[in-house]
Amino acid sequence: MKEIILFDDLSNLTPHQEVWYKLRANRSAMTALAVLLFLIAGAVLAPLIAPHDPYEQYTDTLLVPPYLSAESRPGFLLGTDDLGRDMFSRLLYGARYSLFLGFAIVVFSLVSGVMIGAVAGMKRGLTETVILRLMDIMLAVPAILLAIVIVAILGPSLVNAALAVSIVLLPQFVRITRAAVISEMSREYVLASQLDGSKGGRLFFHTILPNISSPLIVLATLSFSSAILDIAALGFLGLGAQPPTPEWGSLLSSSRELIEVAPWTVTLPGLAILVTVLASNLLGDGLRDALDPKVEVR
Amino acid sequence: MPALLSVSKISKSYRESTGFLGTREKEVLSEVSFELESAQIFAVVGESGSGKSTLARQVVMLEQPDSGEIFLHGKPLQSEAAVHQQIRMIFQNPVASLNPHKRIYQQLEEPLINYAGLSQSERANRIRQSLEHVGLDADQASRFPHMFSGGQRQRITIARALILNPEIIVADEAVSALDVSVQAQILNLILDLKDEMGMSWLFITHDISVVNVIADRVMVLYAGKVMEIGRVKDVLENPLHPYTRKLLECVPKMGASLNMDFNEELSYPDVVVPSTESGCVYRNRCPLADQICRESEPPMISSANQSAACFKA
Amino acid sequence: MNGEPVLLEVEDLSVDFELRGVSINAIQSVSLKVSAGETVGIVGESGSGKSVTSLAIMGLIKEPGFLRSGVVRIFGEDMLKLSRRQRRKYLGRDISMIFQEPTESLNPVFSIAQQIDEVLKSHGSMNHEQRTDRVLELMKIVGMPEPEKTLRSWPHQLSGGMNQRVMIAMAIACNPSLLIADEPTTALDVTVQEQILKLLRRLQQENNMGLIFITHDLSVVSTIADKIIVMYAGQVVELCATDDLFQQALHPYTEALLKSLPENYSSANKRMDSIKGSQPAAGEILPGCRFQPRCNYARELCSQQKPVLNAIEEFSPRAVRCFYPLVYDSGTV
Repeated sequence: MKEIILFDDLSNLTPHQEVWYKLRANRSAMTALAVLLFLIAGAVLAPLIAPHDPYEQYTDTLLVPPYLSAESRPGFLLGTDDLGRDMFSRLLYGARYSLFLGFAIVVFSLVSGVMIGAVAGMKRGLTETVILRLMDIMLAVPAILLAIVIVAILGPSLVNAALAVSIVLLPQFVRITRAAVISEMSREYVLASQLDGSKGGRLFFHTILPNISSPLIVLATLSFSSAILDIAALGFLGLGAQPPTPEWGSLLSSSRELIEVAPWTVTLPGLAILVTVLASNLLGDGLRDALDPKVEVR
Repeated sequence: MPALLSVSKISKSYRESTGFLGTREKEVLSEVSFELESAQIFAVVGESGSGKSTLARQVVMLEQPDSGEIFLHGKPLQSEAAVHQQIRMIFQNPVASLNPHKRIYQQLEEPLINYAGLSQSERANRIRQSLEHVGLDADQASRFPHMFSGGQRQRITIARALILNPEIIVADEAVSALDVSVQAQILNLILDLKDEMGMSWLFITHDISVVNVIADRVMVLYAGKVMEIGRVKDVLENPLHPYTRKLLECVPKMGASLNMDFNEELSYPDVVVPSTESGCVYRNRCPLADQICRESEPPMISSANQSAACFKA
Repeated sequence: MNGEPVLLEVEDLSVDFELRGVSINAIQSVSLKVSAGETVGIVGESGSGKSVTSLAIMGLIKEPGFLRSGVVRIFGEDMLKLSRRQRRKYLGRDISMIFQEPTESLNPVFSIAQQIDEVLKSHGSMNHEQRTDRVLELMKIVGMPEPEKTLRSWPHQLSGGMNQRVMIAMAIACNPSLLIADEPTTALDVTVQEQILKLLRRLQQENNMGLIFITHDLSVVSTIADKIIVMYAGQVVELCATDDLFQQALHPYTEALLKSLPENYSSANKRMDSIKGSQPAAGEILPGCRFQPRCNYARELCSQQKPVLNAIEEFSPRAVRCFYPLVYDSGTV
């Protein structure tokens, strides 16, 4: 049925204002955004907020439970771990690693994925086929396994783990970009730009990219949560952050055996990961709806 | 003096798949020729499948014809840059031909940035002039396309075409998607621009009644072949080709009721004769068709100002 | 039409859309009547509300659209008061609809035969064999060349004209008394359009069916309609028997619309007669007549008060929404 053209076609908001307006109306997305901003603030301000040095071991306060428990101690809001290190401080500093790494990974995968996908989508032919098959091979291997292999080759360290996760997340960006570019190339305004003399890089960055940003933004937000989970998994396996680095995944790993004795040492990092991933997923969903021109707000 | 644009016997085929593994060549344009003079509006009329949009693509050098040549000022089309500047195009759907994420002035600026080598303030001036030429307020240039109505958007695309001062503008169904009242405004605009700026228009349409308003000469296409070509006055008042006559008959005229002959209803089959078969491409729909029409392709038979590809003309 | 039963009666239909906290009026006080065997044309440009009207008649308006007022009586029964299930009994069987883009409106993964069969299954009580016969019969009724071959085909294999015939077959499968056609020929070539118009007219004559033909093309509607309703900015501005309309339009918009048709181009001025300005923006509220800003005949009253639709009894069916309707042939109205 023909779409009935109504209000939103003549709205006075710019495309960016439109997106923000629709996002603002989505409560879960806004809550998620607030939570993420809160976490980012915590990470950035860690040196100022953290009550203790995350590496300092207080040998007389080992395995102290968090605040609300009977045996808690003042100064250790969320308790201590088996080496007497303050959980709260470790979590705060850990946020720096997890969030920053997540962000860096997404940026790397996004930028390289978009470049490769753009080439595939605009050049077509043999180049496209080669790129696609390469991506297919990468996607065929289970993500964690692929990451493990890459880290095993490069050697266990946080940087290598980040690189491995970036590579694992790359194919999705390539495929989405390629598909979006191919669909854009058939649009009349792209044709008009070509007839205006734009081609190659200029055509892509100037004309096409602004129109394919929606699926990419959504993928980036969702990849952020994947990135954090994958880094945590690698940390858990001992292939990423090395102790005593307080990255959330390795916090989980090093406290594995304590789950019955001192559950807070395991649940708190786990909770931190959960909250971050949930928030970024909710934000991603909200963005997807806000960016979709067909979804309207009442 | 050579014509401004001379299209000589161009043909174009596309590969299409015929089922599982097969492909075949589908001839979309077949030996189409015509000439466009300066300050002239030349209409190309055809229904779906006539090849008219493909013709537009060849003229703006978006594609190369498989055979035949196109001459601009007597010289074959060679440089893409030259063609982009001298032969500009506007499209049917004003919503689809403007980038939804770019402000108007950015879209008008693009051809200037690529080709005109002007300073920023010179560009701003040209943009302003262009918008005023098409009857739009230049202050609106910082807005996005969705803030304009359909008719206004089409004016913007015309401004974009004008901005490089082209010699020819190809209008591919430029008014077909517009309301009748808006269509009238745009047709007037095109006539005004032709008078003021002296450019020629290649006006592609399926609506033969619009041809009478706007064009000087007209060419009728069917299944990629030229059926009739000539001065608008002659072709519309005295059509030589049965297809032209059919098109003119089918246009609903106010106050005329339908001819309710049931047999007539069925006698216009949906199938177009494939180009691989012999004879006139219109024969299975033509009331005058006979043996010779099935055997050989009719030549162009010319009278004073008109030609038609028909044995019965 | 004299003597024929009234199939559809629409009275005072109004629909608003609520978006972003603003209530936008889509149609206001629309009324119309269709009798058996009669074709009513609804003419309007985009934004006039003609499609919303047809959806409202079928009871298909849903959020963010709201029906503010109105009665839609089919065979005397108020459709809008029925529940959705009750209404579904009527839709497709007694009243059905065809749309603008035939290829888009058909399901791409089912064959033509399956789709027509589906319609028969949902409304009738025929067994498999009876349905198969009826499907073939329908193909012949709509004049489909090579009916058996077409039935085995898929929508994407057929042309626009053939798909529209399929849509028509599906729409008349259960012998509806009323058919609503929303821009059925707009997307088709002019030669195919002629065939489809003839088909609709013939079906109507054979079955004494009522037909509502919605279009933006005044010329098309003039060849097929008995009476015409002209809509502008959500309101009915003129109602008229077809022949009378082209003799003399009463509403300035109708007159301007007629003049801007390409076929009425006079080479004297070498320019088209066009209506200045543009339609009111969605949600724009005008104090007076909605056409006043663009009207060549507007006077002071027109910007201050809103005109209502006045029926002109002597020349029935005739009505116009204007304080100063254009002079009729035989003197003032």
